[in-house]
Amino acid sequence: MLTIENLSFSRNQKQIFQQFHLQISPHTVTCILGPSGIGKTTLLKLIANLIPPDAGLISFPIDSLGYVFQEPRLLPSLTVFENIAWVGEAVAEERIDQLLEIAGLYHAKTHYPHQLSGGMRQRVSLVRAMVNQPALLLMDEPFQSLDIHLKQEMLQLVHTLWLDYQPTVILVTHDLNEALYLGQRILILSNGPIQIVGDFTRHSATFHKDDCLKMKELLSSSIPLKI
Amino acid sequence: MKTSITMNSLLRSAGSITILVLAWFILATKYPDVLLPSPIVVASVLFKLLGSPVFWSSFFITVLSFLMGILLSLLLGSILGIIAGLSNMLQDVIKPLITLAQSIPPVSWMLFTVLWFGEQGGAQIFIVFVTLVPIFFFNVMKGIHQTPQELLEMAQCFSVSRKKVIRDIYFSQILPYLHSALLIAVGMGWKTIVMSELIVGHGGIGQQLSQARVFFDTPTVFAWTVILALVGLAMEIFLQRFIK
Repeated sequence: MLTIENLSFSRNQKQIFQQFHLQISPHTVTCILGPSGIGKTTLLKLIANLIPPDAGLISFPIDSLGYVFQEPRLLPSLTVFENIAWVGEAVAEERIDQLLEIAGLYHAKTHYPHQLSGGMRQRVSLVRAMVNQPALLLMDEPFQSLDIHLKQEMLQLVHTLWLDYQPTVILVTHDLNEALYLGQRILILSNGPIQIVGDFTRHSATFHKDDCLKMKELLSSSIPLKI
Repeated sequence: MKTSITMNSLLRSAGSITILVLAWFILATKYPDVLLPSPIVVASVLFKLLGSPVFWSSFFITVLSFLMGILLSLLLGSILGIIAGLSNMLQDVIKPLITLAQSIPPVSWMLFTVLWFGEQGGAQIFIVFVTLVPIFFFNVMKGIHQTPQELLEMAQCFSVSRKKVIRDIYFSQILPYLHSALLIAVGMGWKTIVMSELIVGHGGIGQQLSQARVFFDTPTVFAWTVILALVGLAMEIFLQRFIK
């Protein structure tokens, strides 16, 4: 269980979180939506311990983390295979090959990042994030720069990889469709300081129709929807 | 297409050098050898020099001092550049010292080092070293400062070891800066070593130049200068083409 208790954080004298609470069940995919610039990326960075909170506690029992950033963040001097192996300590070559195969990147394992398309680079970054089988996977709008077809491919890939060992996933996104496709739980945040204004859980194959309408309603007041 | 562009470029370069030699040839007919020896006289002295043991011993002394000076400055300048690049506090301590060393002209260093180390105490190496350290220091520090923060953040996220971060992020980041520094340092170091030998003495091409000048042996001064220019040019071409 990922637990956030009494989290407070301010930047440039602006209070982004104030006594913020959140609990996320293990082995689930939680999607976080909300207006731009309210601090969704900051929340992921706080969870990843990239920035320290002003106050509060973020606890996660297992210290293994994967992160998919908005940009692929690959090392330009390393090949696809080397980039993936770079984040792991003694990762079996077979494991990387297997993931590359699933991601449709096996043929490009010796390619350098500059030889790949944007979609391929992002797929490499996704494989890299999952190579160590992290218990917690944070994803920060990883599909935002991709076209509709690539986005669809990536969503399927995330789902396939997730089925592999079912890590706890937190996905920050602007796109409700992405959240509805991947998420088992959808949180809608509002700003000033951040509050959870919508918390929806999927109990069957899809979200309840009423929940979908509520989500659209909550989001339409803050961000344009792509539905 | 590329071959023809390279050929054209080579032909143009050869043309400009031919014009220079021709102009030198014509001017030399108007002046005595002691003022401006002709290319033919210089070439004949050059061939004589190449066959003499003095040439090779002087050449090796100069090359050896130059290489030691440049390697020491590369080592210390890079280490200090990395330290200053990684720590703002240490940058505040190191940077003023390097800036001060840079602002002192090599001629002053030459006079100091003769007093401190004597003629045979490696003063020439020290002068090259102290002249080139700032070049490596500032370039490497800039390389470290330009390291993409997002890559460092990524490495932190995945708990990548410090060794890997230095090798694959910092080092690959500073390599182009080090290459530029090396290009500048080689040219400057080569001139500095000869100048320091000329003033400090104790063997090397600089001392040969000094002796030739004392005896008004201008053709020998020209011959050594041709050798210095050719070696300097060869090193620059080597660095530009083969070390990337």
